Amino acid sequence: MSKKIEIKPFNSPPEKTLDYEKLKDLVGQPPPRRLPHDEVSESDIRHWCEVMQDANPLYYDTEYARNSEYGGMIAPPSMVQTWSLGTMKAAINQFVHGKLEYPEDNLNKVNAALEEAGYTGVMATAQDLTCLKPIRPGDTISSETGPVQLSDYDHYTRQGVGRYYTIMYRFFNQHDEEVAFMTFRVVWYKPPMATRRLYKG
Amino acid sequence: MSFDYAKVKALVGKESSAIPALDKVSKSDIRHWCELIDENNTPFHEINWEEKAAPPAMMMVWTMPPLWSPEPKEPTEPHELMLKALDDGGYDGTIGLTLDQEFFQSAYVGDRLSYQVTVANLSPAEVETSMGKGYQVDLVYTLSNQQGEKISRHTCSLLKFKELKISKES
Repeated sequence: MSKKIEIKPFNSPPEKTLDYEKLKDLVGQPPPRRLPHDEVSESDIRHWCEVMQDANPLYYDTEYARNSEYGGMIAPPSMVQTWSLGTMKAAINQFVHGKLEYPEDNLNKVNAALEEAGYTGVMATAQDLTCLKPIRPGDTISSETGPVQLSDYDHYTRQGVGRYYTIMYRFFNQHDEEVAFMTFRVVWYKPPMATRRLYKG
Repeated sequence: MSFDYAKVKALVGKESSAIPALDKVSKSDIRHWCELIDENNTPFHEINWEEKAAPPAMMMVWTMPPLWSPEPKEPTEPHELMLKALDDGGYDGTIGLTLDQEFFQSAYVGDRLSYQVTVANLSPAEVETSMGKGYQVDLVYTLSNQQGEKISRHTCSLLKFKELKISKES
């Protein structure tokens, strides 16, 4: 009856974790400014209002907007992120083929490091948009996107062990005036075994 | 669910008033279209818009009705009345049969197009198809630019049909 029992240690083998010191220099650096793919157009504003079912006449009624405090038609302020979006082709390359448009950006470097360290789940937690100036049809809205904050320790969340990560978006018009800025906080987490099994089916 | 054929047939041959397009021909819409059809990634600031005409196949885009509107419009034009009457008569399924497009001129960025719709024909009797029984409607769209020049004509046929209801017992 001398069946050998395999004895496992109490602790699971140490998992890979993120070394904050290596990423410290990437966080908070001024990001490159990128031109949009489209200028602000009345037709895009109308499409947005249709889908959002936003009946504010400032966004489509020229006559009403001229007599308002803005003195002319404006774009919905919450639409500002639209002009920082990449092309459809870039999105397909990223999400289908895994090819990034700008792999040298600090944002993408931090994302890659997090994913490599096992933080494969991403969940958005907070988004704050501050609008400074009205956006008008014909404007060119450039954007700067970069990481500004990253947890240097693991948080224990219901989703699993994770790191909070804040991305700052800043939007400028063609006169180099800042029209809006937005912070976007996500948590990158290690999905626990139960979640991974669920996804695998 | 009543359908008065004679009343609807009377609309054949009538022309609508000039319906203005909701948007001007815009750079962003052209770029979105090119992105999807051509996989062309050229940003707008690298295109010479003075020379670039809108893609002709995009002609119908400029005259599309809105998805949603703050003040919903009641049908008043002959083609709208005809389609409404068919919908109310139970022929609420719609399928496109043919579309012939003719292009006379190009549309350029900033143009504000308008269109007129003529009801060209309504099939004399119900046609029976594998989709169900229905009527064929022929519509002619004539598009003009802000100078009143005709730039394009579209002839399309629709089948408005009663969808076959397949019950579980059968």
